[in-house]
Amino acid sequence: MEQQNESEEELMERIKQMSPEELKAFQKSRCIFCHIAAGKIPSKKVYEDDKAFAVLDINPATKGHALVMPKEHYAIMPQVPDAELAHLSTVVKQLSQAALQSLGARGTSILIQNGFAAGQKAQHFLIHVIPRTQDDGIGIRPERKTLSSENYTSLRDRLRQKISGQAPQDTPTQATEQQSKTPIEQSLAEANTELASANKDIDSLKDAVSKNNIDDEQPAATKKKEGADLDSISRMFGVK
Amino acid sequence: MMTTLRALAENEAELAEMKLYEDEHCIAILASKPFSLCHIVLFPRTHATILEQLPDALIQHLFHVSNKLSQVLFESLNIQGTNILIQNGVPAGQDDPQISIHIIARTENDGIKLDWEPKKISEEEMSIAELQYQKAAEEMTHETEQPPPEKSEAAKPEEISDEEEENYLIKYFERKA
Repeated sequence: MEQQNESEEELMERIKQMSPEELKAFQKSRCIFCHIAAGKIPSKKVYEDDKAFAVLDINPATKGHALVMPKEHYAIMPQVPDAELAHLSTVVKQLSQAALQSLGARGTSILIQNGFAAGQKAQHFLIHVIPRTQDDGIGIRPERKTLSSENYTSLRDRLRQKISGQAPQDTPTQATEQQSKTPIEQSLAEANTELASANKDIDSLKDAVSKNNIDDEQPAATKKKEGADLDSISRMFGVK
Repeated sequence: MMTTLRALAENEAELAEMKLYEDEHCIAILASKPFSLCHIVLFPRTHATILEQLPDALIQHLFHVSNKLSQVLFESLNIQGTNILIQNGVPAGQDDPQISIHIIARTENDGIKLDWEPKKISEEEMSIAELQYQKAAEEMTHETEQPPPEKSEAAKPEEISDEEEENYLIKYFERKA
């Protein structure tokens, strides 16, 4: 392969000249997870469908540490299409449930690392599902810090501003406020309409709640089958 | 005293102080005792203690909103990373009876404890874990294909235990506070 004879500088130059499509293809060719998805590198696959797969991490925090990822190459989370992220979240739930019911876990840590500073190591978007047991000594124990009320208020106001998209000097009329949504609000509103079609399920679940005092029909079946497992895990609150 | 998320959701005045975003399915607040310089807590309006109790569509919505809130952090603050963390269950560090998603701002070398020492797991143990997951997947597919079991037998005992559980959890957290 030509690439092996290239010096690093030459490679950097070539990368700079690449179009976005070429860059993506280049990243893919060097992506270990894309190779795993294609079956070129062996791995312990614990889940697979057309769009997503999951493998056991070879440097795990504990036994059963799984990585859930799209088959398509996305380097960072904002690049993942909404529908694919939605699908991944369902896979995460399934594997987390499997860890609780079949791997002896009493809890799971679900973690996404966006950016090197957040611990991201792979160039392929992935979600960690880490089985946990009481006092397992695994890190992932962030500590609570204090925040002055001044800093709290200024942070809160800054974030609110960003989310609602209102600049302080602008005084938009009521009408324009309602019409113009920031891209973030727009996509959040769009997510609501996607969920609206599933709302029927949630409404019928709410009915179930008021009638039977059972939280959710779907896990009720699970609860029944595995009896204590999920119940006892949610009941661990109070047992320390 | 840290109020529980459920109590907060019912306290209009306190919620108004902390709320960043809400829709009919979920609420996002700015954490007052954050894990890092800035930390958002997103929780569903539906009461649930663990992730597995939430319907799929709701989980999808929560991940979607978390993704957007993560982008909000990147765009509003001078940060180099975000973590999205679910502490699902007490052993995972869950400290509130309502399941929630944490969106945590990160800067370089901030020392936030969100990593782990890789463990040496034998090939045999890895294979066992692989099989356990595969078996669990088969069982789940099998379940969804079965007609839903009769609810009447188990409904009553679970009804009582759910209520007891709720009271117990609330009392536990009120005691702690």
